[in-house]
Amino acid sequence: MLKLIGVELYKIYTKPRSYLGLLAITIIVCLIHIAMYSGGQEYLDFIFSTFKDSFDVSGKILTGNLIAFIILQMLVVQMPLLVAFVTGDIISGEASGGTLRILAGKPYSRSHIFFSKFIACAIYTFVLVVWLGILAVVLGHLLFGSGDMMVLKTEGLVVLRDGDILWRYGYAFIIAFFSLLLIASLAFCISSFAENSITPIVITMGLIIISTVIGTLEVPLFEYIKPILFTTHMIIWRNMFDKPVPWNEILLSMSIVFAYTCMFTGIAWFHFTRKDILT
Amino acid sequence: MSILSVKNLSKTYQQFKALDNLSFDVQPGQIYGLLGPNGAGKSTTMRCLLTLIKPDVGDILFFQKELKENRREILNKVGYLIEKPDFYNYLSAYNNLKLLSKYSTNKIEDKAIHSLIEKVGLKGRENDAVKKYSHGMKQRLGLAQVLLNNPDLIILDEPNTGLDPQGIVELRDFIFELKNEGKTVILSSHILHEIEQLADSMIIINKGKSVIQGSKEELLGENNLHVKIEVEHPTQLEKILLHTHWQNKYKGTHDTIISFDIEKKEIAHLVSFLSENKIGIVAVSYRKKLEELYMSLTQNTNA
Repeated sequence: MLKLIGVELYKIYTKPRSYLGLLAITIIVCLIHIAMYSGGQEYLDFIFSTFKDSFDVSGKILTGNLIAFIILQMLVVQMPLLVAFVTGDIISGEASGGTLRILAGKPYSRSHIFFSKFIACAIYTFVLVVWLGILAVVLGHLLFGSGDMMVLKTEGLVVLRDGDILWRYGYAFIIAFFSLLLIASLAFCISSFAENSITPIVITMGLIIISTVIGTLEVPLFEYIKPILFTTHMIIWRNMFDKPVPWNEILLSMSIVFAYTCMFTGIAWFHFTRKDILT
Repeated sequence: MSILSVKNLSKTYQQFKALDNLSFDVQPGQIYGLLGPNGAGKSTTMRCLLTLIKPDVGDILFFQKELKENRREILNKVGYLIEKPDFYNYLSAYNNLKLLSKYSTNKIEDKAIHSLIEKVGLKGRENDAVKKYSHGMKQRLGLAQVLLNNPDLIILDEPNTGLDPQGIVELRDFIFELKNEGKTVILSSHILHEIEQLADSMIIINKGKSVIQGSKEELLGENNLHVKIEVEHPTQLEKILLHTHWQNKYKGTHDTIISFDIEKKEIAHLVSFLSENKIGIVAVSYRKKLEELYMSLTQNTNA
């Protein structure tokens, strides 16, 4: 199994499209850093101007901690796309390319092939998250320095002390990884049914967008649906910056994310191990 | 003792019956030809042998072992090239072979990979990306891939497709070489002349069914010719045949044409017999070439 995981990672490593995700993250994050470095203070002054009657804000607001938070918020839509771009292709790309029929007739079982691909997808997702973390948090701190962090939430303003932030990012990135793994499993699931690379990416993004729109609309009917939408629980990483941290809520959301991941992976495995390979 | 035994294999796609109770045996060291028109079920059969397609019913035994229960052990001894040679186009030929070698349960040394590259005539181009390869070069790489795990049994589905005449001759020599090394080859092809030259035994499939099968000697040899005699009064002849030894060799009547399976030397006796019985003979023909056998059988089953 380890040998097959290595093979799948090698395929990802040698495939040019795998680097598009890393490149896109690098460009987006660097652009945000540049933008915030040049005009970030004005941007923050504008945001906090609405509070100037209620609060007296003094000291350094534009810190690496805040920049990392802004970056994470902005990449909510892009990151799933970048993950789906590679994971949606991992089975269907081989089906359309004709290489799946070479692999499926080899001595290793389809389950071995399936899980080696899935684990490779998980590792790729992890690398994307780590890279995002390095660029957002580490580069943010290098450029903007450390400091207390003010987080604007719907319930109000949360102020976090400098020494109380980094561990929250650690957990936030772990949660973000599992949330993106859910997206990877969804794209992977659709990939096991599709015979071209584009369909899984388009369907995955379509589902994310529909789910996000439903989750955003304040319509009574949707209030019943929202708790079961996976996108509702994927953004639970934000709660890591609440005071106190609502651990029960986070654990519940992570359980739902985990259940979705298992469901999508289970469906994909069931189909992949039984389907006739005709391509 | 068969190296491969297929028993009562059936496969239906929705309403379409791709394989219908197909059975055949392949002996070790043979080149076995699989013939049939497009959609006859050749590729479906080969895909079933490699577990790419799950048959609805039927048994497949390799090396006297059930495929379902011994998949890993069996497929480690099988090399295959199904339809066109597809590879990871962004990788070089060497890296493709290296990568695919990892799917074998045996350890395949780098030396063996280089030796295969040389064997198929790709030395000097092994580090080029496969996307730069011509179809012929991909086919060569496909053959190298087939031999990666040093298989005992090789399955080649339409390996001639897209090859130029020189490529076809080289492929033929390559397959003979494999046979001389003691390997068994199962080969499907549309080029009947190739199968006729290569195969020791063959099966003709049409609409998922076996139309005829046997050794080349049995099917195409002079000891068993399919003779067609066009006569003026076929009904009268059928009655006469009833009381003679020709009845056992009589295969049927189609309009005014009566068919027999007989040896070449018996044709003269049969003609004499018909003349003695005042049966007017219009024409006598027999087929010998695979093309004639193939066309007659597939047209009969299509009728």
